[in-house]
Amino acid sequence: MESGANEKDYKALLEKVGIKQFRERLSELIKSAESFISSAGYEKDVQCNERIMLSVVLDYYADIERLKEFHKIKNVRTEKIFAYLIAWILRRKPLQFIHYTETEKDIYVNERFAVYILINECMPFDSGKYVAPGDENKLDAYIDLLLYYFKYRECNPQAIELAIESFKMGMLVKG
Amino acid sequence: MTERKRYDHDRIDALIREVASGEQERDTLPNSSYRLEKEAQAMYFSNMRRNLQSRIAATIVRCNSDLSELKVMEALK
Repeated sequence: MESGANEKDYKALLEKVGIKQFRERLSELIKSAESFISSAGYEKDVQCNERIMLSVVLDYYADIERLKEFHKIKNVRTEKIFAYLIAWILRRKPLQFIHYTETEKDIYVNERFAVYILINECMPFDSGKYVAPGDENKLDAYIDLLLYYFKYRECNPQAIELAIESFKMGMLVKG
Repeated sequence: MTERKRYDHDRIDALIREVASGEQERDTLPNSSYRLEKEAQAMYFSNMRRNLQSRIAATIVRCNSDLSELKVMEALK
């Protein structure tokens, strides 16, 4: 997961992606990060650092353009898009604590944001989905597993992509 | 050159010729998609933000809060 290894700067990458598309992706991510911060109750203590999020998007596009070149494809699936974005968010940590706080909320805001992005990609237009009351502890355990993975394990985008694809496949299996 | 070394040499040459002639195919995963841009992108992310109101999102933001380092800080004071 290296990016820009053969270029001195990102000018060529920006030209390839298109400035408008790049700006739109960056803006959407920043807006979504800010919504997540607010929804999670971190708004007094955490901000999305735009410069760090910019580096997330640059590194993401560098990876994706290399993949497109290798696989000879024009567009990549959203599973891959968000797997790579999640991997770079976890590495760069754009959601930053702006001051010291002792509020009773944990510091793993980037990891939680990553979990949210992953689950949302698994069910992008299914906000009506829920887990039955008897199975809520299983959802807790699954989120705990994802959080643990994102906190302590080597989060390569290929494994994250496989996790998303597997989740979607699991949703198709009928019993 | 021994019989074994000559055989290995020939086999290696054959493998190289295979690659050079294009017989060795490269595995790719061309599972392409629509382009996530403009309206499609805006809708995707708009839904992502709207889904923050869902029960599953509420679970993600509140589940299993890890305050262990805060407890250590309190102990150090």
